[in-house]
Amino acid sequence: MSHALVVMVALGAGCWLLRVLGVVVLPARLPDRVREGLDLLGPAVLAALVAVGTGSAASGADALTAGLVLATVLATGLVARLTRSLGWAIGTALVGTLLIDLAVL
Amino acid sequence: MTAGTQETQETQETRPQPQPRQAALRDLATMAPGVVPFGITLGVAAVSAGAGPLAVLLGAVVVYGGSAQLVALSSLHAGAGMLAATVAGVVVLARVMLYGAALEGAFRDQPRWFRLLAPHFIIDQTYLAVTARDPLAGRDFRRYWGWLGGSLLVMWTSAVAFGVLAGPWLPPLPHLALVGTGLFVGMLAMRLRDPRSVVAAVGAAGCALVAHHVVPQLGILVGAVGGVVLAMTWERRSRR
Repeated sequence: MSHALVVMVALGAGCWLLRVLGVVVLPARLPDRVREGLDLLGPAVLAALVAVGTGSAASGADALTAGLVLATVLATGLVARLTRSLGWAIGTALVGTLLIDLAVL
Repeated sequence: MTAGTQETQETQETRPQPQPRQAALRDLATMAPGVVPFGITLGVAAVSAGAGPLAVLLGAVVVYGGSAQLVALSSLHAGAGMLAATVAGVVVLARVMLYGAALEGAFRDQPRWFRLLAPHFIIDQTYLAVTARDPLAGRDFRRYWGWLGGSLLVMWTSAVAFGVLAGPWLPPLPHLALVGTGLFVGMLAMRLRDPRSVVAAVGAAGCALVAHHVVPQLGILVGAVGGVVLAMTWERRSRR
């Protein structure tokens, strides 16, 4: 069995344990104040994912590409806000991505 | 309120909620355009990092977390030991513990087999989809969760397999994962409903960027926790 296969099996077991602990064990030990804060977790996680995703896409790129990455993210947010449609938002991101990868790079 | 508006409101109030399976498939269709490009990207990147197709596909099913899988395989490729690579992947996915805690209410009264097996479907997209809906309970939640998590897992694994197989023939698309970020941007834009959520989001983005710069594996987790703490602190001070 290759090292990569062993790591995937071990990682799968570790991730399963994290998920079950989160559902079964963690909630019983959480203070009430922390529990109240969990309803803010959605927007916080989304913003963190967006920030890291945008940062990763722009890091190491030249100024034009980094600017286009940022413009794509901002345009996607604007379209989502105006249309209230995830389909349009994802379409905007796809157009921006293809523009960056096929036309600019 | 006009008669027409009242009638519309009454129609909406009496309209039956979609069946769990329909609701799950509807959410799946919403998530798919963001998930598939990321899966393809993972397949291409993992094979480029020297992982065999079997390890990549097995990881897609048993890990069910693209960022964790990619970090583990990249660490291994960079010369890290098996334990170090596994720990790096687990750290990346540590946020699913928080998702689990937030979903505890839906899992609480479920049968033991469901509480042990179904958490495997907890990922960013399923957590965000279920928390955007009216709460489901009992059998309805089991059906919704099973259809959403199971279908998304099949779609995810297929996308990864496509990336593994078609990677060598695809034009270089280094920013394809940005489409997945687009999905999160769209979901975020619709969840900024009050000052609390805006503070949480701005705080989380700032914390995530700083943390990602220092310890890349912890960026999302630190950002999420930091955003929640900042919003709670802000709320407590604004009440005084």
